[in-house]
Amino acid sequence: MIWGISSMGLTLGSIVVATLLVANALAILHEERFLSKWGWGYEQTRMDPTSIKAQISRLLYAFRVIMRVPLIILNILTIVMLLILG
Amino acid sequence: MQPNNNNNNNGNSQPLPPFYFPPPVKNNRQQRDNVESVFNSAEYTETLQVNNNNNNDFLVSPPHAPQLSATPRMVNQEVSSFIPSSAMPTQQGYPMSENEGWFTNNATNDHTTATFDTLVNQQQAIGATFARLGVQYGSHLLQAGGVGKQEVQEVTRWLRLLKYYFLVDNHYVLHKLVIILAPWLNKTWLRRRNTDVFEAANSSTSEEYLPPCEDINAPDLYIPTMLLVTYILLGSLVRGTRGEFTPEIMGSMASSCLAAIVLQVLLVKLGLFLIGSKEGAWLDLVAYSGYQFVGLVFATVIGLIFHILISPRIGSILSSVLLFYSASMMALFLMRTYRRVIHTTQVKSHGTVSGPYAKLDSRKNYFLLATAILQYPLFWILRIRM
Repeated sequence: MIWGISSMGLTLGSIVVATLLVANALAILHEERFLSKWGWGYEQTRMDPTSIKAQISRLLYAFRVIMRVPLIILNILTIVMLLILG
Repeated sequence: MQPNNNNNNNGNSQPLPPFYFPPPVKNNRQQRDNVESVFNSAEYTETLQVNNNNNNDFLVSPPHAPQLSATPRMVNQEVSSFIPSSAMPTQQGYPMSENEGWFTNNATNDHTTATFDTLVNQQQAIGATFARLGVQYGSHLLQAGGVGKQEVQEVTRWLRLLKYYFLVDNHYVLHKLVIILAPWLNKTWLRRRNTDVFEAANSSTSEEYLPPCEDINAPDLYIPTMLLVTYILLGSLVRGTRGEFTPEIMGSMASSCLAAIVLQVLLVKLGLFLIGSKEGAWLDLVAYSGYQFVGLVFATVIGLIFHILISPRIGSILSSVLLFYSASMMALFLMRTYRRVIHTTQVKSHGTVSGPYAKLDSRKNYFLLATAILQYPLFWILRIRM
């Protein structure tokens, strides 16, 4: 149902699912195994807090720390809905 | 005479002007022209009024006799002031330049009265009177129950915010539609600030900018709402001409359009955050994203006309061409608008754009470019296939 395409191909449901998937993707980037090696770690942003890299790192940090629990809840809800409604 | 009676019952000690129902309020431009004619001779008044009806907007001007007596014009003057302005009380020697063009943003300078009473035309008077009655009664009840005026103000804060976006008039709507389809015609893109100290001191939620009826560059939510519904109905109409209309189509079109708005608002908000700007109210962004339906409706209507009258093939080709054109116009409009938004923020926080902030310039340009490029896929997705 959510994966179904309307005549226009872009529906509110698809936006919601896409946002959820993107949020999941942002939240699972690991700080010390992956981001620090590529220079996108949170600690490395202390030098220059106004650059775009610093802001994106802060965004990723926020997703990892703050959005973890709401993302868990949202994922559970989506899974249950998809199971019930097909 | 009802508003008058109610006001007196409320203990309002201000004497109202003779409140017979004045003729329907025209837009500000016509009002300015009418008032100017006080200082010209009698026969000039006739020609001026004929002139005004000709070179003003395409609105149907209400049929009324040229007003040469003092009292109706006085009432009209007070009727036309939307904000309690401390501007000059008369218009003597006011340099009225009629050939300033269509798109200069000087509606507010024309208000001439110095009254602080905000009952400004009959509809607003009746509405405001009943609203005042209701609020008084309600607050009386609430105070008995322990909830005071502050809480009511807090709860209705969102309604007041929403109300700002719907304060439009004919003049604004017409000019805004033309500007969205042809953005090069707009002379200035700055929004006018609210310089009314009286209102700012009294109400706790005075807005920073003037409402749309006084400022052509202010965003409004009336046009996007109306055009959204129009677009959905138009899509249903087009499908109906092909004989494949089902009620589900309206729902799916509504979903797509709302999804496009949501997507655009989220992306723009993210972009503004990455740049570091502090302005960008959500409803403003919703309004700016909603303006894309102007171009969509325009392209679809003309394509449909040609489709039916001339030939289906020319209709669909024309519709695609006009879609591309209106996507470009929308991109231009959005670039100028967001440039103003970012500039306002820069001036607020940084002052001047110098050495270390040169990065900000290129980031701003990338953001504007991304917003502009985003329009084309959006228009393509939302289009109605002829």
